[in-house]
Amino acid sequence: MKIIDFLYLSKLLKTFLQLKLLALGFLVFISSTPSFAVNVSGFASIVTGKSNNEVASPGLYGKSWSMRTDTRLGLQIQAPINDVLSITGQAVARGYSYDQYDDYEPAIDLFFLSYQLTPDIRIRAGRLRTPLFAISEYIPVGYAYPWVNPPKEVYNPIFQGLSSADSVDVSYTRQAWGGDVIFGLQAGVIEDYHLGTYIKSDPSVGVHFTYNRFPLKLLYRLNTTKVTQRFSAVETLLIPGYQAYEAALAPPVSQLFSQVIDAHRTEDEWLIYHSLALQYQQQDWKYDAEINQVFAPSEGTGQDVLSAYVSVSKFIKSVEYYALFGYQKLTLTDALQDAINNTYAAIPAGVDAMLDQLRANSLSLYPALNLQSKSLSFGLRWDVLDNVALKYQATYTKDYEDAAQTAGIPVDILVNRFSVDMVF
Amino acid sequence: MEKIKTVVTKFWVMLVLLIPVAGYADIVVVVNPNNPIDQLQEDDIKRIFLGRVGAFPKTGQPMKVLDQTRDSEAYKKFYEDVIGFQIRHLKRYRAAHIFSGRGVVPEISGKNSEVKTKVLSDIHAIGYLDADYVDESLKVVFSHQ
Repeated sequence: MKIIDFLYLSKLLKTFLQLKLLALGFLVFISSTPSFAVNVSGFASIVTGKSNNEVASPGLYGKSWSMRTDTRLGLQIQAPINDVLSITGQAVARGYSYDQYDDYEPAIDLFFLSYQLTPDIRIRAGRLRTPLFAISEYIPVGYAYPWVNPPKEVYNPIFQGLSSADSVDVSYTRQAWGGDVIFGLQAGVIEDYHLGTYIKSDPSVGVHFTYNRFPLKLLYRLNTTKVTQRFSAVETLLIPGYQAYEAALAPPVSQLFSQVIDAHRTEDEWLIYHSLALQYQQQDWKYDAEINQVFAPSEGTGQDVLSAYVSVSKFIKSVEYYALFGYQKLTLTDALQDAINNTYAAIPAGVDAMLDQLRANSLSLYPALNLQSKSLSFGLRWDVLDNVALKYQATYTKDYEDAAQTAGIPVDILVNRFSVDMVF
Repeated sequence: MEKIKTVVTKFWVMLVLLIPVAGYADIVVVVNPNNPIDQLQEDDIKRIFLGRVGAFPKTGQPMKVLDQTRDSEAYKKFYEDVIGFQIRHLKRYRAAHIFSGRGVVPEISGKNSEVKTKVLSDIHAIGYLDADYVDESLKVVFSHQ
């Protein structure tokens, strides 16, 4: 049984050297500034895991132990330029990231200038993580949370990428209600590929609110973004077929096919994200809960999302034991179904076999994109050193049968994972 | 006999008087004597050492926050008694704070005597000390009793 993949360990080492070279370049760059101190720090999560099922979907564990899916390394440099201005860069190398940064190729997650306007107001501009959810801003840093990974129901889409945007944010801290309240505003642009899907969020505008009164922390995030989204498989396998009918037929029937083409794409539609989270600690107990809702536009292939998790931890000496329950429901809007049904009035089923097949293929997106799943995890975290934690997590996920089978994912999955998380 | 009684009584009176003195500030927060700040509230101290403010409250002066090494007694006492954080939570909080790009963590400067030396040499510095290390050369802006 091979739990540790030595080939990947050598790749990790190579990546670490690449990160150090990046850091060196950055240091040379900032050496021209009159800085008086440079902070170099980093983090690593080395994760190995396997599933009881072989899966077709990328980024998930198979029956063999794999270190690729969740392992990541990060290096950060912060340098003050003067008393109120500083520059920060952070590169993260991930084993798997759904986009062009696969296989431990370092990606720049953070690169921004920070300006301290007053003791309470800070402005940042550059590449920043979008604070969509409670732990979005430090999502690759396994050391900062108890689990091996953040709960996948909420965080999977942004855990592997799509988490950073070219943006500006302003945060204002003040004392209120016996604690610290942080108000934030962020505006930016994201353009990336995610699992073969082109996604552009332009603009993405959010407000966030954090209330800290130890041991209680409350967070609310509201983000709205204008999205363009195109699935590459849909663009190559379905759209050309409908375009042929659109070109060959006269109005008003051709217009029905134009509507079908539009319904396969999301073009400049507004998405709204809401996230509410609570963290509470009481002596040896810790509670985390978060609920998120995404409202998709009524046009195109947007999905309404409802996701949530609840985590309860108990500390016994230096070991934290936890249970985590996650839930998600993704619902594709009816726009595509309605557009295809309209074409049946003009060209009924049975008239054109090729068109019937095309329409059936489009409608098969519904079970694939209407997903619902629940998961239950048990795990532990053992802080063996001041900056090193060992973790184990077993996660049982149940996907609702129709959707999972259509998407090529087994209905029941049990994943075991071990990790070493550190900061330095 | 009366004399012995008097001595014992005096001893108890002195002991009672000494009790508040023995319980006096065990951790103090200090700044350079040339720093215009004279006093900080407990909430200010929490915000400063948790990295939630980027400059001195009220004056807006640049601030360099100094920490003690993790093996010092003052470190544990300061964060658990003054800041109200258990050390295991503090480490995670700081990891999240620094790698989210929200701020810097305090500079680790050694133990009491090293922190004292740095505060004396830097007008922007703020640090915490065991009260026994305080003398007239430093300005105490907060005392924890």
